[in-house]
Amino acid sequence: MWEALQYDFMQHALLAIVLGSIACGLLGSIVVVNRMTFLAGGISHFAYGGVGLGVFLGWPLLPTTLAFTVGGALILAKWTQQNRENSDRIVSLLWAAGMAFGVLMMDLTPGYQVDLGSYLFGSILAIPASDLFWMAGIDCFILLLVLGGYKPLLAVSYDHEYAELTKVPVKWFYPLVLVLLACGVVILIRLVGIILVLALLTIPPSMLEKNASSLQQLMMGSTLLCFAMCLIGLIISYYGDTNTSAAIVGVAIAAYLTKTLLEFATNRFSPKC
Amino acid sequence: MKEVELRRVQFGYDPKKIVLEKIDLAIPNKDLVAVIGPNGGGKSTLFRLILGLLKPLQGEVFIEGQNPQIRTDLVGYVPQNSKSNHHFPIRVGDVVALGSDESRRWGWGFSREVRERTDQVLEEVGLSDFKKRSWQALSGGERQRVLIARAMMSKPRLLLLDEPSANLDLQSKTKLYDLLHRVNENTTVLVSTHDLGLVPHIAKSVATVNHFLHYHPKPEITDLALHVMCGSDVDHHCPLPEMTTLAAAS
Repeated sequence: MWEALQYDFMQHALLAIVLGSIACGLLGSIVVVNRMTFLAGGISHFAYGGVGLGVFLGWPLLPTTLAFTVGGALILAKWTQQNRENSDRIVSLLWAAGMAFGVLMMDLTPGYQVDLGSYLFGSILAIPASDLFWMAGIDCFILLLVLGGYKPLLAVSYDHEYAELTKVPVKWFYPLVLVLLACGVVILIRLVGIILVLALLTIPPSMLEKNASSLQQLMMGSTLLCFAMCLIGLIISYYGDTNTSAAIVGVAIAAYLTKTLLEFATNRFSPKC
Repeated sequence: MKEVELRRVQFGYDPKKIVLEKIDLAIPNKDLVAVIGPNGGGKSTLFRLILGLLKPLQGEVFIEGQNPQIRTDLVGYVPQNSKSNHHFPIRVGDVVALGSDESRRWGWGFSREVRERTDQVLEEVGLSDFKKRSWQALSGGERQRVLIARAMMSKPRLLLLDEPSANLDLQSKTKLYDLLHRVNENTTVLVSTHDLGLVPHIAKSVATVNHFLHYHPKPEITDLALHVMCGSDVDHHCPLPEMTTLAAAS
């Protein structure tokens, strides 16, 4: 595999893994501790509408998808905050609407179209340098907001009611997290695609949540774990000649199942006092 | 000036459905009040009014003569332990530090002043060695004391505790109430509880809340308090001296 590293596409893939892992680690931790997995799924699938729009209008796909998804995240935040009891239905609606809109836009686009399956299932080996710049820029934005706003994020995530009492601006928390999620999803689409983004966001922090003693530790651990999973998936797909995104998610799921089985075996067979 | 004053307070989440009516309450400094009453009677609503989270439809609420919606630092609040996220990845020191003003400011870590104050309050609640421990590893009683430490970060004049002894065993309850007595040396305390048998041992006075409020400045549950609890048709709107007379007669 070392010989493959001399090629641009492999170097781009490794860089994309680093950038994607940062987004996964930070945002995935926030999603998992706040139990926002379904929301994250809704946003990731809604993003397909942005891909379709970009194709139809002939605009650059990544920035168009970013703008479209952030817009959807803000609508979702406003709508679900006003209708908390119906939030799951709203998420489902947006989920389906984004996908349907994307497919329609592509159908209406005349002529030859790019491989849109690469946005559904990722194409880590076909990331151009221009996309890497966008990904790096989005990562910087995520890092700035998450690290800079860490204390209010921690306060609201840990105890929403008490945070409200101590005048933490809780009403901004929800829209902010959804916007950050939208940004993270756009980065991860190139890595594993819309369909598999949710797995990469949630599996690493879910594995570490019980053992982490702080949110900082969870974020750092999830970043490293995500990086390891992506790298192993890349290596497996290289030697096995398989789809890289599926290999990455397969590694993640295998790791999660292994940890779960080990915990079960430890609890079942450990001596009890 | 009383520590806590409610003057002719009336409140309902829906103006057509009043939850608390004709509430007059004057709690002196360094009182330890047991707030009792049935579920749905308005205890939590009363607390939220005192905290300044709710505005009364009529009447006024004062903490040391000031509006609690403006001076939020005057009141510390300890929510029910059962409402806290027991699996959240956070250290005890960070839980306590979140009680400071810095929790709403930008930045990655807490300042040295906040860390020193955290050490101080953890020592006051008897958990000085717990700073780096994981929240997930604590017992119910230890969690409650951490939440008390969090509430004390702002050096409040008044501490509200919402059913702090719920789901605690007798030993943990005893330790908790011993701690509240120590805290009460410098702070007025209101604690809502369903442990009616413990009220005479833990409190200096009793406030019974069930749509109306009856305050008795002694640690005993009077017949009038029981009437309020049971919602029987007694004229609760009577001046304090008459209530005291009625309580003494009972």
